[in-house]
Amino acid sequence: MKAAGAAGIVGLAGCTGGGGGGNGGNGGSSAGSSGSGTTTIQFWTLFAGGDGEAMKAMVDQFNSEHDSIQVERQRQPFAEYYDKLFTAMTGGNAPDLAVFHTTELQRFVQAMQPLGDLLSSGAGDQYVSSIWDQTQYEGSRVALPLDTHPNGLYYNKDIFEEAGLDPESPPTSFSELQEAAGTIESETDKLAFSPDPYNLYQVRQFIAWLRGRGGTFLSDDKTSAEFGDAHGTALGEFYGNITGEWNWDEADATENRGTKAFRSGDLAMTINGTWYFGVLQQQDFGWGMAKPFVGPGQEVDLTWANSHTLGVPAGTDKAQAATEVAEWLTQNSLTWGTDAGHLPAASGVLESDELQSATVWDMTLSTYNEMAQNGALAYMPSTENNQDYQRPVNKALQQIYSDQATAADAIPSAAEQVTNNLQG
Amino acid sequence: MSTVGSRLLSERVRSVGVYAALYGAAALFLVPYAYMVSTSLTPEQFTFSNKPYWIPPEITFRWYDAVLAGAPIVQWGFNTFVIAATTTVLVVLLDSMIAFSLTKLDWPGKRIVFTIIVASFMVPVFANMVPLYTIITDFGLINNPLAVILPFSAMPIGVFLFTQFFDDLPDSVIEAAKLDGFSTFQIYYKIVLPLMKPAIAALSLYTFVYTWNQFLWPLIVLQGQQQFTLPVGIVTMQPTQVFQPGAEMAGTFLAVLPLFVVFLILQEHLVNAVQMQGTTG
Repeated sequence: MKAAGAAGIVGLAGCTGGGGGGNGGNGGSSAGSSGSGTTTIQFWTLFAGGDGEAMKAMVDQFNSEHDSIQVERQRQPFAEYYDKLFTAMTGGNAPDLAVFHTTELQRFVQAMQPLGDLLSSGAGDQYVSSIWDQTQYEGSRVALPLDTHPNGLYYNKDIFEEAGLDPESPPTSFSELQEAAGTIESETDKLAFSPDPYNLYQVRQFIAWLRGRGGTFLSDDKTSAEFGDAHGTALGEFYGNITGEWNWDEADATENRGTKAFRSGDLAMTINGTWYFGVLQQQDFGWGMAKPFVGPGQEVDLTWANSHTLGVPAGTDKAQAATEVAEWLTQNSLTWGTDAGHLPAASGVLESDELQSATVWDMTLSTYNEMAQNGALAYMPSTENNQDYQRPVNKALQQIYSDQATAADAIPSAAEQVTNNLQG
Repeated sequence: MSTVGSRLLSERVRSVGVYAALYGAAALFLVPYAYMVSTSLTPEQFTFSNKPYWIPPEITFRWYDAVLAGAPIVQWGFNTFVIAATTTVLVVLLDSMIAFSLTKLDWPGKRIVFTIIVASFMVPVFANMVPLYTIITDFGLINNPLAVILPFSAMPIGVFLFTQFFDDLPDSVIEAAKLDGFSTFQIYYKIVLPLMKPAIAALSLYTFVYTWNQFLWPLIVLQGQQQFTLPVGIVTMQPTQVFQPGAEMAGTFLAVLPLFVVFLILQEHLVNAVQMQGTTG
């Protein structure tokens, strides 16, 4: 009886294993151009949740409007996306089209197809010029921008009312932030402010605020860290004071703690990106979004931003079709704005009535648009491996935030480590 | 009389204490699982609150709906099962043959081969990844389940485990079979394998669980969403930078459920294997 069962399992496994192998093979061959003249493009994305649904809708629309090209969207794990893409591209198994963040381009640029001759004429005029400029690499056009997704200041209007503050006038400067957060701290039992609700990406807004106060993050040739000076330390102290002296937040850098608190209505203000629109749509409290120029000593208005771009890996023999898909997706990105909440990079979409009359425009995108038009977007530097600078800075700020280290110690030592990493 | 009574009482108290400690320790292991199930049934507004809920104030199945509707999770489960089952069968077959020839057959250099096999499991899997990736690419197996199955189809730890069991098998049994005219293969197939059921069950369970939970290697070689295994697929569903504990827990629960079933089926053999090792080893 048992033997028969075991034999059955062997048979099943053998047979389905073979079948699976066969299917894999077929999948591989149908990825090439099939007899009917349809080119299938393998398109890798890292989008899940609301972003994933918006991208799915766009790809579905592309497929229904095109006969000669069909896109197969392959969603890859977010955290491992770039490592996997790197392996695939250097190992000769690259997809035909993939999503790249602007700040990751340098790592991949050697293995990417320059798009110059493949683009339709005048393609560059279709995009907002500041974003277009940010998304090329050393004068070479290797990817098309889909969007820009900057940080903003999100706040809970209900808590503002509870503290006796005007819910329609969020803080616009460091002194106003101090005043508002101080009032919330003394008048309510809520937390006042968290500069990174995930406690994972502190480096993003740190760089923007650092440059906003006249500091320099890396040297021009990206071989040494420059933030170990008075600017960096003063900004580090700001992070320490939030949880220490001012008592605006708990001295606890546990992952996702701030976003949990904000979404449960226990945190009044936080800094977060465009994608928070979709999430906050489901919250039952009143919320608003404002410009995040609230770091201490700001002289220039700057906020962190990054762009999703679509690029074509060099190995593919379907570069022309993949470029066509990239052009279409980046220029028909209404859903990307209305549903995913990102600021579309195509001027036609950005200026369209459909986008400007959507809820998202009033809630967040008009403010983001204004910041983009005013040149307030600060992209992080693109290096061979961005973890070289991201990891030490995040770690230092987490330690300062959770009261494990002082800014005067942690910031210069993080700068030293970044320099070592960049030169190593 | 009274001393006997008090001794009985103190024994009873002691055994109550022992049971309480043992069940308490066992319950500790259940805590994360209970919290996983509870969170997967909790509506969103309660998953963010300061105080954790063991029993959610409201029950919702929307996370399960979201997980099942949003992704080909059944397909991933099927892929994972095929990969884990095939690998398990291959590992048991190949490892037992290798172990049989190492313990019960005479051939020159078998000590050296055994040493190399045992030494090879000192080398971390990660060290092999790059050459392995090149080989798999050259064979054109990227995105094919065989890319996950073949590299793990002869695990050295299985050979090691089987040699321990086979060593304990008296040579007289094999001699007797030879006198009865059994061929070498018949001895392996008709005598050794049936006697080694507990060892086979233990190794099968280990291999199945190991393969089922594999993440890094399938992540590298499986590129298409339709070919993903459960651990890789579940990770692709975590929303980017949006915290959704309910959905994550529902996905994780669905991913571990089949393993739990497999364990229930094989647990008797597993316990036997441990007992046999304990008494004969």
